[in-house]
Amino acid sequence: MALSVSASASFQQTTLDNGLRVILREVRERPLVGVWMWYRVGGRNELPGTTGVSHWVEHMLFKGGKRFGKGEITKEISRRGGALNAFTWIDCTAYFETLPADEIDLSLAIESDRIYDTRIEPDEAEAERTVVISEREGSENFPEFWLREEVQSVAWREHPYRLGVIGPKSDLRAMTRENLYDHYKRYYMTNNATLVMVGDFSSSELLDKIHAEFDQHPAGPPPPPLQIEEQPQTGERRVSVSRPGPTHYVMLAYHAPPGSHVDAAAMVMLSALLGGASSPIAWGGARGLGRSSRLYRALVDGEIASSMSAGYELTVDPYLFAIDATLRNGVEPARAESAIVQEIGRIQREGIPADELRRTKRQLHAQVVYSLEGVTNQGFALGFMDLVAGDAAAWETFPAALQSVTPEDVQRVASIYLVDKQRTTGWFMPDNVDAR
Amino acid sequence: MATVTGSALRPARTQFENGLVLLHNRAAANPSVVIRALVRAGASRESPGEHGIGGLTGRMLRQGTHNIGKSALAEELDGMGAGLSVDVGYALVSVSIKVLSGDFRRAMEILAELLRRPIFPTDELDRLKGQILTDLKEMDDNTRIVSERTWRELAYPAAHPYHRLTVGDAASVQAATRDNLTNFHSAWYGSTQATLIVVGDVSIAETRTAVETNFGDWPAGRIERVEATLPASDLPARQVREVALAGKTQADVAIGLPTLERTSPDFYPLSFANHILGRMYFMGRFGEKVRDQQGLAYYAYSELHGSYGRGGWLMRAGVNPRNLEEALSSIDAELKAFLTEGPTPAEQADGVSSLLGSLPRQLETNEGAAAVMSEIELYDLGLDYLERYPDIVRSLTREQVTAAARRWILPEHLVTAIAGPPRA
Repeated sequence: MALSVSASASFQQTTLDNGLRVILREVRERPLVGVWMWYRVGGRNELPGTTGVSHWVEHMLFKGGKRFGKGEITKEISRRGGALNAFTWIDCTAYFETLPADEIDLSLAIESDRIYDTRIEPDEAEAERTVVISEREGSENFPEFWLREEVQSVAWREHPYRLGVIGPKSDLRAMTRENLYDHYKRYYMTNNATLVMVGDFSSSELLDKIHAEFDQHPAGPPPPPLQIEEQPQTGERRVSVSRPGPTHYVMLAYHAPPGSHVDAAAMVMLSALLGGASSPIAWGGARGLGRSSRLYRALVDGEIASSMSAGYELTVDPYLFAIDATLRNGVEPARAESAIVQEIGRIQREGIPADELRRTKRQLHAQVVYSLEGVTNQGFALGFMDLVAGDAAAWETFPAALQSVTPEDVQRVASIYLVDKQRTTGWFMPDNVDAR
Repeated sequence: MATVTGSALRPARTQFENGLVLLHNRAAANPSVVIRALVRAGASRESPGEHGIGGLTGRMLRQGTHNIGKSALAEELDGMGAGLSVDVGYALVSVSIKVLSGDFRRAMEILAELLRRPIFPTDELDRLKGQILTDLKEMDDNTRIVSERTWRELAYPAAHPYHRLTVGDAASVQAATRDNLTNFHSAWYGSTQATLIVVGDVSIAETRTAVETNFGDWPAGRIERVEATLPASDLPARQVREVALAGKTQADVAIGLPTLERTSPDFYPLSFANHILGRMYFMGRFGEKVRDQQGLAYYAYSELHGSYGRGGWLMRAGVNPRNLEEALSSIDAELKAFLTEGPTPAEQADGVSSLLGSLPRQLETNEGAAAVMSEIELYDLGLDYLERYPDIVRSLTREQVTAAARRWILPEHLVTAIAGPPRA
């Protein structure tokens, strides 16, 4: 029995008695189905000492439960030509399978098994410790990783967003199997999850199957709400990282509103104006856009940086608006920083011409269209917007809101959020002589 | 079990009077189009001492043409929401535009302008060189790239284009002149060296008209097949080289050797062997052993480069230096076991079903379809390739797969390159 059913032209949403949110969208062009299981747990739910636990638990959900033994989930999907993976982010942990539509039952069985019956065997947890550490070490080989981690760690005083997702090695070495299992039991439950399925199926028939698989699971005690509220930043914070590296990198990170905030659409627009558009609601899209953007022109055409990016992401709690630049050999960070601040200042003082805004809106519209190609991407967009906006319908209403942003909106949010006292500035300074 | 129902891709092929080939496939699920020009003007076309000229020429296409300046081009593309990307490979330069279907015609005009009428402004060339020099510094600091580059230097002779990365090196990039680029462009950018791939929400009639209008009078380039210009490549001696990079935590490993051409009859059984060794399930046998069982690496997989000339078979892994010897020993043992026994019957069956079952997924996006269409045209696979493909895969036997692996993956010629932190 469903507690509530709502429908729009583009998807059907149901909440089961046990709290599992179910979002279904029929797309019949190809014999495929994209399945996403979203859990509302990630870096924001972690504490020092066990930072990285959500991500490690994600790894363990491939290691076997009651109906699927170690490695069997991967093998069952793979031998049918399907693809599967998972990711952990500051706000969520999500698992997906894309597979032939006639194998839909397999996917339901896997996700049903995962939600309560993952074993997390001690020896398997131990073997995975070095894999997770190795994942971190792969990232450590890049200077940008060190800079971002440092900037994140000082941009907040309280909020767990400062801890990131992968976790420091000290936590990864010290965490126990019990830490993993406790975390799993606290956050993995039907009433903390959303199942999204997009593809070649009949929603009514599929809903019967979902009931058959998931109704057996009782709701759990609601996960503890996040009590921490970050106090406003009152002055610029600066960090520098000195390590061997090929060149200088600069990162400017400003505190920004969450995805559900009324200013979110204008922030996305501001980010596209500064650094080129990417889809705010899904992965994917076209490469090579944004060469007429303000920072591309100032930094790359201006021979200050070899590459740059500006990003505002939709998140549950207030996060960061971040600008990164890889500096050309011989360029000092102060020059790049000043060029970035100058461009922001221009928008704050002068606003933006209507034709530039029109061009940017078109970029965003196109990137959203491109990013919704295929059942996997559509499933992502529905689940992601359900998570960050609290309503999957935002996968359509948010892109529409982007088109209503005015020049005044952009100027206003630039003036409110991209101000010095809300900024953390980071410089990566290569300490090997040949890189200077 | 999975079938290939619904995966059929039936591109229409048109050859125009000037030799230009168009492959078109209509897909209306997303209101967008991918337009891709494959020009046989990659690094394999470079003269000795001109390393990086192919890549520079490709990257300079968007820096200004006779009829549109770089800045105006950037504004127009952004105003359409069109993504323009240039990828430089050994055989090809691939110039792609992803665009909303309503802007298809203008995108074709722009593509023609870029390919046919670039002016290679000197100031833009200097600017791009500065950018590439920073990229090269970053590449020198990237353990994955350094391991592959080192592997290439050992696996292929110096005269072979596969001996080096396509980007060139600091000296060759600095030495490049506008004349080098215009000469390279005149020689290799022409209708006989190009294939246009168009996939998405646009009709064949509209596509043909746009191609005829914009490319109908495109003169031919030099007529020379890429494979004919590749020098021979003897197999290297078995060897190991380590490159130490300061400040790194993880060592990246590349192990492999030159193997066969895409058109070799052994390509399918060897590709299947690679699927079992380093791809299927979760990175194949290598992933299962080194990551899942031993926990030594986050990634461990293998790849087969099917192209013109002897493409490489390459196994790659990222390992903590403390675990390097153990990981290398496990990789070696897995390879030996496979060469001795071949795939198990279960692996053989799963290999077939996974490859065939994945086809609809691969063809789901316009980019995915464009990739398959490119392969069909570049290697003369025939427009019915995807209809024949299931039989090709199903007909492979364990014996054929094992024999092909033994013929081409020769342990006595394996080159191992490691890039990571200095080791005691």
